[in-house]
This record gives sequence, C-alpha cells and structure tokens, in this order.
Amino acid sequence: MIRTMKKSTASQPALHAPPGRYLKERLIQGVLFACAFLAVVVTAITIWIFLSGSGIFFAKVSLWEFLGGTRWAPTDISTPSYGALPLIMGTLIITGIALLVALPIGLLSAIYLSEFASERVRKIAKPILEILAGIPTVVYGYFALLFVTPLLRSVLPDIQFWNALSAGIVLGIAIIPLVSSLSEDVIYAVPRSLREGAYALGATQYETIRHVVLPAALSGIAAAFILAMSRAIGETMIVAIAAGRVPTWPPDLLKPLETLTVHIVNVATGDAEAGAFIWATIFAIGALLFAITLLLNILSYWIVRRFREQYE
Amino acid sequence: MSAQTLHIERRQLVWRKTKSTFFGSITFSTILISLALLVALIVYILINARPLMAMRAASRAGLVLSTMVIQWDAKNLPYVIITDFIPESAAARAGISEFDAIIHIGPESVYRSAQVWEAIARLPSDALPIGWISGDPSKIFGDLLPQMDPQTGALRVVIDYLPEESLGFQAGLRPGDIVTHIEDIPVTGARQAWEALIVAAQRRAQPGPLTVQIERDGELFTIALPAEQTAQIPIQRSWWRAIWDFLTSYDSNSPEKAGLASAIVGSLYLVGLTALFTLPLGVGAAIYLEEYARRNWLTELIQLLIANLAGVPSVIYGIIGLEILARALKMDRVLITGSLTMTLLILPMVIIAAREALRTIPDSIRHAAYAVGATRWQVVRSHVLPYALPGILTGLIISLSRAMGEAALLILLGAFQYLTFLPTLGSYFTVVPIQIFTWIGEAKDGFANIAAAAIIVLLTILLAMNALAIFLRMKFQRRW
Repeated sequence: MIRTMKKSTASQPALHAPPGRYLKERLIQGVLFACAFLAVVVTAITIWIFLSGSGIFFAKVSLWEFLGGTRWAPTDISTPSYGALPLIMGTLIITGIALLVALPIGLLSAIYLSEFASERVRKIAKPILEILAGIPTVVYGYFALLFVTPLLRSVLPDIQFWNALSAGIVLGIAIIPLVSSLSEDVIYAVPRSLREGAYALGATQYETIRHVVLPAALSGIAAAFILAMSRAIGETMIVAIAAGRVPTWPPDLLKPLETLTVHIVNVATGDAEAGAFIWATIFAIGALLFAITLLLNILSYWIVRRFREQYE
Repeated sequence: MSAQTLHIERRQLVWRKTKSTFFGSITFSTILISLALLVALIVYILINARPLMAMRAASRAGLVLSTMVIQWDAKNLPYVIITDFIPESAAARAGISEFDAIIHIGPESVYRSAQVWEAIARLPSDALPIGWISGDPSKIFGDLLPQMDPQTGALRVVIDYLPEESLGFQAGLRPGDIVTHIEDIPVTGARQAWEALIVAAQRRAQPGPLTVQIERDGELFTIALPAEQTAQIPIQRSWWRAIWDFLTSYDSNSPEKAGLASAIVGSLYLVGLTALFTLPLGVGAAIYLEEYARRNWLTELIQLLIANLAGVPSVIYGIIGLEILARALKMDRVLITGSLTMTLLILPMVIIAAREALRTIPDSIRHAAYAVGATRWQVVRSHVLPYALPGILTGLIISLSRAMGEAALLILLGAFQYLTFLPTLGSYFTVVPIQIFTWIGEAKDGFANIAAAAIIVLLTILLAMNALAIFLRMKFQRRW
C-alpha cells in the first residue's frame, strides 16, 4: 500500500502526499511493532531472571536435593534444608482435588449449556458462571477458611483449621467457569451435521453426545483441562489463606500444607532482608512453576491449534 | 421380524430415552450446584459483614473492645476489656476508661466482644445498659500486698493502703484487712483478686454487689462490695454512618476502628495507572498484529508468547516486577512499580480482547478508506479504531477488574503493609484484596467481620466495573 502511494506521487506531482508522510507511517508501524514485541522482551527477561536467579540457588543446593529431598526448611538457621518435594506434592494434591471438583462440574455444565439449554436458560446460566469466574481469589480463600472448613468438620471431625481439602475444593469451584467456558466453546464448535448424522441413525441425545460430540471435541476439552490444571497450579491466594503455610511431609489432606506459590508469598511477607539466601529459593521455585505452567500452556495451545486445523 | 424382538426393542428404546433424560438433568444439576455455591458464598459474606454496624456504633460510643483470657486451673476464661480510651465519647462520660472489663450488657453476662456487638444490634432502644468493673484494681481494693501467714505459711493478701474514695472503702473495707475470698474464690494474689472479681461478676445473672470475705483482727467478716458499676450508654446506630466510617478510616489494630481508606485509594490509583499504561501498549500491539503484521515466524512467535504469557501465574510476574523494577531499576516497592507489574499481567488479556474487537470490523470499512487515498495509519486511526473502541474498552475494563481483585502479585511488590495514610504514586501502598488477606490472618474477634465487609466493597466495585463494560457493549456495539 505504502509503496504504491510513493510510485503514484512520483509520476503525478499534483497528488503529492504531505512531506514526511511516509516517514510518519514507518514510525507508527515501528512503534506498534515495539508494543507487540514487548511480549518477546518480557518472556526473554523472565527466562533470564529465572536462569540467573536459580543459578545462585543451585550453586549451593544440588538439583537432586531440590527435586528429591523431603524436608523443606530454608529458614532453619542451623540445618537449612532445600528439598522441594513437600511443596511439589502439596501443589499436586491441591491441584488434584481442584480438578476432581472442577472437571466433572465444568464439563457437564458445558454440555448442558451447548446441548440441552434453551436460549432463555442459557441467558441466566451463563452469567452465573461468569460471576463465579469474576470473584477475586481472596474471597474464595475467605470462603474456604471460614465456611467450607467448618462444614467439612461436621463430616470429618479430625480436619484442622488449615487444611488441603477445603482449599482444594474451593480452588476447584473457582476454576469451574474456566473449564466450562473453554469446553463449551469447543463443544459448540462441533459441526451441526455430525449431530444430525447421529440423530438420523436413531441415536438418542445422550448417545449423540457420548459417542459423537464429545469424541469430536475431545482435543479441545483436553486443552481446556490442561489450562485448568495450569491455572490451579499457579493459584496462590486461596491456598495461602486456607491451606496453612507449613510444608509437611508426608502430606495429608486434613492437615496444613504448602505449595510452590505459597512459598513465594511466604518469603515475600516474611522479614528476610533483600540479600538473604532465602530470596534465591523463590527463583528456583518460581523457575519450576514457570516451567510447569509454560509447558502446560504450550501443550494446550498446540492441541487447540491442531484441533482447529481439523475442522476449518 | 417377530413380535418378541420388537417388544425388546421398545423396552430398549424406553431405557435409552430415560438414560438420555437422566443425563440431561444431571448436566442441568451442575448449573444448580454453581448457583447454590454462588448464593452460599454471597449469603455467608453478607451474614459475616452484619456486625459492622454495631462494631462502628460501639467504637463511636467509646467501646473499643478486646477479648482477653484469664488462665485459671488450666482453663481459659474469656472476658472483654476496653482497649482504647476515647475522650469525650459516651463511654468516657459514663466513667468507663481504658482496660475496664465489661461484665454485663443488660441482664446478660459477656465473655467475648462479639457478644457486645450482637447485643448492640439487638438493642430495642438507643441506650446500652452496661455493667463494668474498673481495670484499675486500686480503685476497688487500694493497694493489695501479698503476705505470708505467720502461722500457717500460706500466701494471703492484705489491704495495704485504701483511699477513701475507692469502692472498697465505701463498702466497708479498711487498710489492714486480709482479703480471703471473693464469693467462693480464694484470693491468692493482687492481680488474681481482680481476676476473681471478673469471674465472680460474670457468674451473676445481673450486675450487683459481690460478697468479699475478709479477716480483720483475727475475725471473719463478709462485706458486700458493689465492684460492678452500671450505666446507660447512648449508642447511635446507623448503617450509613457505619459504612461511611468504614470507608474513610485507616487500618487499625482494633477491628471496630479499622477502615479501608488507604486500600481503596491504593486500589483506585493502581487500577487507574494500570489502565493508563495498558491501553496504549495493548491497543498498539493488537493493531500491529491485526492490521500490519505479515504472516511470518516472528508474528507466529509473538502470538504464541502472548497466549502463553496470558497463562503465567501472577506470582511469577510478581517476581519479575520485584527483581527488575523494584531492585535492578531501584524503583522500590511503591505504587508505580506495582501498577507497571500489573500492566505486564493484564497486557496479554487486553491484547487478545483488542484483537477480537478489531477483527469484528469488516474489511469493507478499510477498503472504503483506502479507496479515498488514506494511508494505513489513517485507515486505522480514523476508521477501524473508532469503531473498535467500545469493544476494546470493554475488554480493558474486564481485564482491569481482574487487576482490581489481584493480590498475589502485589504481595511480592510490597503492598503487604500497615498503612495509616493515603498512598500516592511514589509511596508504599496497599490495595483492597491485600487488606482483606491481612484481616483474614488476624486472630482477633471482629477482623473476619470487617474482612467480609471489605469483600462486599470489593465485589461492589467489580460489579460497577462490569456494569460499565456491559453498558459500553450495549450502547456502542454495532453489528455489521
């Protein structure tokens, strides 16, 4: 476009563009490119920070001790210990509980919204899920600590004030909308002709969904599950409030535990000075967290891309 | 086909249809579960926020309370004291001062500060009948001196000095008396004598005199000591006043006095600044990707990275902001650092939303502008952008409401602070979600209630932001 303008001004002086117009266009394009390129810069800085920061950490602690050790006690002055297994297991347990809650409820909600709901019900049901998605996580933390834990105590009297179970359940509630909206998108995108083909063969609605729609949407649903998992692993406040902030080994559902994210919050809210070695731990933990979530995100991005290519 | 097989098929058909209906109702029930959870959450928070009115009314009347514990025979006996003396308050005029123990509200014994607030909320008129025991034992007993009984060697307590205006003197106690029992509780020490008064008074159903056993010149006497004073304290109960006080006061160690002023100002500053930084960057990036970028590996990479950055946990951004902005660039953990980091967090979301808004503008608009000789930037600036702006703003506001509720990132950037001033751009700061987090962590009675009140404030702000987004979408969105 720009190039053709230039040619025409050369041959027809009457249609002269204002001087500097070409330069201005290039400048604006450059500025806009810089905005987009920021994503590359931020990612590069992140990777660099985590590499250099964990360099300090791993100069003192072996990778084996970090990933295999079962005692996480960085603040212990006499015998500090940097085994991250309690934190990793804590994260996996909380994530596991959350997914057990969120996946069935989220997926069934998505199926209801795209396959069963009438337009009127949809208009009421979708905002409910959107409101659940918009509630800040500190609010969920409050709910977990002061409502869900006492409720669980009436069933499980041994449950402690801070525990993994209620944090996990409420984290699951918090990610229901994520699962349902992502799954609904892919279920909705399954072409109508596939459903009609199944109905024409005499399948009931359940059979159509079970044998035709869900398999067709499977990769998209898988991507949604992976994103939900990544979100659960990275969630901080619910766990920091309701699961206690104590690394425990072996982890127990009814007892407090600590996750990767919560350790970072602990260091930040503690009174360690800026140069203290404990700050190096947040880079190692952060790097682990970043690597896990990045892998999961790329995996789901890749799955979605592949899925899209199949239908377009 | 025989009749029998047809029959089986019909039964099968009914079974298959039932299964289908059953499955449909199960999927519907999940929506009901979500609805029930939402309702439970909101109702629970509303219930927990209810004492706010009584708490603020109590603190205005000068009753800033704290639940304390007497440790006695391996038991913890709770009681309520006044932790703050507010001159000119209704309580001060009634003669109540700091450290006085509140024993009765009307005909009811009080053990925890929450009971006082409940009583205030239930009060039929605006006067609180209160019974208290002075926190200064010398006003009751004068100076008590522990002493060894010369005959038995047991510890006992002697009144060493007793001013004439003290309650004890007026009740008939004299210097030199040995105080042996309060009601049936043996007295073993000076402090313990006061605690015994509290426990004995709490046992009574009404404020009234307590029997004190003394030994004077080797003889036992019983004296009725009116240790508990009573008064009617005027209480102004107003929700409007309570909400206003809550929104305009600073954080405090007493939940009745703690307010959200610094946190609200901090949040508004933070979200405003974040909007200021995010809008140009996000729209710029979106315009580049939608209107300028060629399909090459770099564009692909940028798109992949934006999609991934949108999924990175917020604590990770917190670490980046802390390390680069606060430490390497020496900006310290102040408000502007927080909002720059927050910009990084929501930028991917804003870019994705803005791209979608730009994508809805049909190419015919662009072609028309090109046809009259507009340059690419002119097309974007005067045609594409104005049409896409409502969509972009909607996306921005929704992303900002995420920023409004974000706590983890700002904890790393130093928003975990006890502030008693209004934050400015270069000052330390706090925000509403972190204030809530702090209050949840406080063990003292009442903090859970004001945390609930703060949650309502936060949810109200978020609701207003979302309503604005919906309004923009309804008002300006056009279909092509």
